[in-house]
Amino acid sequence: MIGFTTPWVLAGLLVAAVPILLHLFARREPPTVDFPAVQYLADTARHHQRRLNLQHLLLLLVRTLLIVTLVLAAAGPTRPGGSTAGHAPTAMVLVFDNSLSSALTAGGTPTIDQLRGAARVVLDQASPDDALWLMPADGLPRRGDPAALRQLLDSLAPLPVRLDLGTALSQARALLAGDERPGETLIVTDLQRSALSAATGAGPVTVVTPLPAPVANLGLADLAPGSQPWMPGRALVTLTVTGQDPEPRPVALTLGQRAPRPGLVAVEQPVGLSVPVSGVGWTSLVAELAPDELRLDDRREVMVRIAPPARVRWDADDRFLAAAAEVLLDGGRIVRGDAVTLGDPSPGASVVMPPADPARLGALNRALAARGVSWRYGTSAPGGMTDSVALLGSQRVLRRHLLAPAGADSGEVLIRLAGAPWLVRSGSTVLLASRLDTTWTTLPLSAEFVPFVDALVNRLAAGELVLLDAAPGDPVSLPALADAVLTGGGRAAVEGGAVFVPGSLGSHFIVAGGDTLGVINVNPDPRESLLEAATAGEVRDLWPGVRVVAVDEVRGVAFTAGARTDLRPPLLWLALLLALGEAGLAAGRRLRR
Amino acid sequence: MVPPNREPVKICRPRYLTRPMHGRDRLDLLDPLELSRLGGLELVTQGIVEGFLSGLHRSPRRGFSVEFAEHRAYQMGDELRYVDWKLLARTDRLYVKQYEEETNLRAMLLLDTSRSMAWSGDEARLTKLAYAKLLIASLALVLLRQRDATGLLTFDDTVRAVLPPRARLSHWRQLLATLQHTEPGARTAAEPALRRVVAQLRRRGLVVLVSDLLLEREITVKALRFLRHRGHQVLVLHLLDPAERALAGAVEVRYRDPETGQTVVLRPQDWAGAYDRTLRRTMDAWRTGLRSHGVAYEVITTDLPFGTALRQALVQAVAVA
Repeated sequence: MIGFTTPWVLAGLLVAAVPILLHLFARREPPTVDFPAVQYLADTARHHQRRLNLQHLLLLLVRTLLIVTLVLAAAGPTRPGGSTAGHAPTAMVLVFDNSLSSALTAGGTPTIDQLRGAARVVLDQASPDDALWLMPADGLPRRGDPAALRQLLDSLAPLPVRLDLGTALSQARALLAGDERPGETLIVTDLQRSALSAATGAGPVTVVTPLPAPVANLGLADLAPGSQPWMPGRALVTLTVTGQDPEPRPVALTLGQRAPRPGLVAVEQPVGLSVPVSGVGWTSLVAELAPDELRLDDRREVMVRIAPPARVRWDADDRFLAAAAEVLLDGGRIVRGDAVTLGDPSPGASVVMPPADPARLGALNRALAARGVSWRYGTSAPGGMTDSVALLGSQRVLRRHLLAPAGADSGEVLIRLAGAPWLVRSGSTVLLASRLDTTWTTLPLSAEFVPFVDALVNRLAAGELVLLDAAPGDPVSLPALADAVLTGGGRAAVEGGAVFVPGSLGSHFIVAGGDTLGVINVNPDPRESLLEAATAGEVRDLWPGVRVVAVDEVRGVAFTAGARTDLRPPLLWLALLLALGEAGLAAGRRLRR
Repeated sequence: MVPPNREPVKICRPRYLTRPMHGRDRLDLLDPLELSRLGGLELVTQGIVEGFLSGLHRSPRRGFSVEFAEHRAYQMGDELRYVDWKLLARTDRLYVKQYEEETNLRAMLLLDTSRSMAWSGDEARLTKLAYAKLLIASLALVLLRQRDATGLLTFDDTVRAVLPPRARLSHWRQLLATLQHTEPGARTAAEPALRRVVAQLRRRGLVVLVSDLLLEREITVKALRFLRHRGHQVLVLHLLDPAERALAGAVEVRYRDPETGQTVVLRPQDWAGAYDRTLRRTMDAWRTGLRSHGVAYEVITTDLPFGTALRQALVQAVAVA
């Protein structure tokens, strides 16, 4: 939009109307003189009136335009864009992508240094009248004057986080919408294709990218320790790598203080590595790739829980359950003991099933109530198919009793059947709506039966661990019992069921009082390992109107929303041309006289 | 017959008219307005003609209307300067040359007295009518001095006054009186006047039309052509005020035709060039249209000294004769 540095001068445009007004309204009656040769004048007028009228009109137009042009030039017209020298006050969000991928060192220069240099050029062009925000990869915009933001910029290092560029742009635009100044967003980024997403809002955007330096990177995408807890012996760990390097690369897997176990991994080919397990308790499992140009994604760490086999007591008359327990006993997954009771409620952990004789149902409910269990068995109900959950596939149920909560804090439902609870937990007591017998369910006949019983005694009844994987900055839902998260720096009090956002790499223990409920394993987002940059066309498809420039072209692209091009020179040239035209027309008239 | 008497009419003249005529003192070369202020029509006219004729003396070949007629035997008292000495040498007898006055030249002077003639573009100039009166009076005096019968006809859209051609010098005063009593008339139409001339000039003669020619060209040319067919020599003096020759002025003006009331509004400086071209085209049309039928045409502006105007008029008259 055209603007004026001295808009009050535009009042002078009224002067331009004077010739027209005079022409239209101020034509006074000319004096009358006798002139015998009027017939010659009439003949002359007949021949020349049209040409003379055209000349008059043209001259009037040229003179009016000349006045308009001069007045406009005097008002100092400017238009958006052009040179950034002396730009108008601008609101700018400078998105600085110091995400994990910015730690890449290609050609001897860290990407973040290139980006920092470009950002510094932009801040150098800022004026005190500009509103500036610097938004690093953590997504938190910081407002400040150019000097303060320069200082902040210099202190920024690559963060082990992922920056979603679409989200950042949407945030920036929302921020700018609250400022009266013309706003623009400048994103200094390595422009990973995996970081690109659609954005909301509107406003000019400029993307500044580093000079291209193709690098074949590999990063650890996943370190999966399998179901927890581990038991002493051996455990299988699955490793997945991502990136562009097709060559296999050495990897070392280290459990606790033990010697690293070497291996070879290749892109998109998950590798299972067996590690010897001994001892009990929480211990770290670290996988580390051979170093490449991007170091931050070469290491991944999770915490694993090593526990002894559950000490289980079962009823030998319950033939299907007893058979499964014997199998687990033979496999070393359980030992005989009183820690977990299969079948009836007990003082310790127990897996409770409805009695075969309905007459004992009342006694069972009273026993449950006496132990503080918040579920009761109700009437029998028709069977059906259980919901398929991670714990168990869909199973046919022939008989069951309804499970009804007995209080506000009813515990958690683990498996449902036709919407009704089928497997529930209250504290260390797990309740099944059906007996594990073929007259009640077909589950004992399936291959999933023994692992299900293993899960019941080692995980569900013994107290299931909460194992969460996250990347820095990702929100994580905490279990209801959690009251604190232990980070590397200390203890952060949290509310049960709240969302926790880990800010740093490493393992964060979720605790409830003195008990450890689980762990949040925070590792880099694997998408940060994909360094392939998006093309300018792809960016434009997502963000119409965006400008994509390299870091060495950054000078002159910033503050274009507030930058104004001085329109006086072209106007003055136009005025000169009009003046020459006017002189030519007037001279032509004089010559014709 | 004796040679024509070239003595001027005996009139009591003011001193300035009796002074020797040098080139720079000739009244016929004075500014017309300045000259007109020197006296009445009669005196001024005489002054003009005196000056004009004194100029002609230096150019005797410009004379006309005096021709050799016959010889006759010398008689006592005859001036010796008229003796034909060559004939005496051949025949040994004395003969004198006899000159014949060109009595067959009858001139009719036509004066346009329409309202447009009573106009001057500047107070420091004579109106076209005043200028024309002096010019016609001078022309008449020159003709009468040559014993040419000279008549006068004034007209606007009708014939206003007619003075039949007479050769007597005293006729000039009647002519002057007629001119003095001539007032501006209405619109212009030359055709009735020209038809009237046919009735006045039974024999072939000279017709001089003095007008600003703000009239219908086709009709006028047709009437003049008719005069030519009747054997008359015709001279048209197109009288123009200098202000009519060139438009001037920076402000817009409403021009009104005093005869028709037609008006045109324009800024003179814008139209000067185009007007000049139109006027030249008009004069060329008159000149071409008239000369193609043997009619002499001369443009005279009212700032032109009468001597010059007379000379131009007489040169054209000789040319058509």
